[in-house]
Amino acid sequence: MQIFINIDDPEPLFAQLIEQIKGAVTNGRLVAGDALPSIRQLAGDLDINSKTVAKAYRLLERDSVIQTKGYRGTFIHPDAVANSSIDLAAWVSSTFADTIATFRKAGVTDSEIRVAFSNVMNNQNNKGA
Amino acid sequence: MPTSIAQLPVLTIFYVVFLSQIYLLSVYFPGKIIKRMRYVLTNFPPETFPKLYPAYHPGFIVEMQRKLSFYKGVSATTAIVGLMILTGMLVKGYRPSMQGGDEIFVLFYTMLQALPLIYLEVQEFRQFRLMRLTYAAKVRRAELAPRRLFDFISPLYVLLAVVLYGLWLAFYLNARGFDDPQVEEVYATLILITGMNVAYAGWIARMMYGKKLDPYKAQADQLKQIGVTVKTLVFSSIGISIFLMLSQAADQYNFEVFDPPLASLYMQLCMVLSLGIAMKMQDLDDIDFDVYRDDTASLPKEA
Repeated sequence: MQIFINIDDPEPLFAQLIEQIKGAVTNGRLVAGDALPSIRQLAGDLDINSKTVAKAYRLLERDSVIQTKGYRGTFIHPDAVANSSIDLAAWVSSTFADTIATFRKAGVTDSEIRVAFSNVMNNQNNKGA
Repeated sequence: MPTSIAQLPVLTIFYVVFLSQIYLLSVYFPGKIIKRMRYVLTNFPPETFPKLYPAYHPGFIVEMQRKLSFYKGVSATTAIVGLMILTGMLVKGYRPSMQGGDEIFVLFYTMLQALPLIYLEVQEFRQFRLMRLTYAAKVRRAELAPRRLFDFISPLYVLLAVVLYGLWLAFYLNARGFDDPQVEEVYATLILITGMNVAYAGWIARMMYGKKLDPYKAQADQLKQIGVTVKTLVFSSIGISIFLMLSQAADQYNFEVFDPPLASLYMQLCMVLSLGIAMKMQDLDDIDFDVYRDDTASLPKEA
């Protein structure tokens, strides 16, 4: 199976990779246990930065679409088909939209929402550090 | 008359082997290379396949033909030099030294023969670099399957290469050892041969997992290229280990008189294995040259 990227597409390269791999899992062209190329190999073949491929693989692993087994390589996750249909980005957007609608209904201004969001993100980052 | 009757068959073997080296490295392989390059220039010209000629400029074809003629001339010259050496040996009544050391002349002559080839390789790498710099494809494709070493070569050959290297190491250290009077030579040889094998492994990894040297090359041709590289380097490692063991054995058991034909045979084997395999596995009729046209290589094919 071939994968391709379009440098001129406004969609980020890592997102293009994620979309195609999830699409291939959903329509059966990739099945559980199938091996994927290494980050270095895929980056070399597509002539892109290996960090871009690494980001795509990291996000796919987070979503349990792929799993890395150390030196043995990267493989399609046993539950990849079910997990491929979950779109985290869409869920985040949807949840944000509902939350913001709730705040606005309560009379909170957009400026107050942005300030509160920044403070929460900074606090989360500091806790993480 | 030979000073030793025992030297006569060795001398004959050496003359035949050296003649074969002159023919293979200065006539046969250069001829094949020139034929391939002229075929590409004629059948895949810059007007129709511009991506193959990143350095194209007016007068390019004439310049290329001139360079090919120069390469042919240099190869012919090295052949004449070789024949002159051979004639000189016959006239002067050359006899192989029983203490060895004569193989150095074979090695020097081989280096002379290799210079035009090395020049061609450097030019090829320069062209690939230019192609990478001018590579502007917006849509890029890749196979979503891992590449493994044993996809390109039988594990037995890799095992053989490793085992023979180990055998040579044991044989060499047993014969010389670290208490050898010329211990610097021992260290130098160990570092050189080990370093060479490590470099081979590194180059194989680079070819398998690194960026394509030629960014336009079709996937199938890229895989063939990787196969050629893997086989060439693994067979070369096997050949070097065997040659070094035979050479060491010749020194140890006073058969140094065989060193010159042995060295010549080894050089020819290297050439046959590297160039021969490369040309056989990459038949020009099987290579996809459409990727170098101006209007392709940027459109995705159906997966």
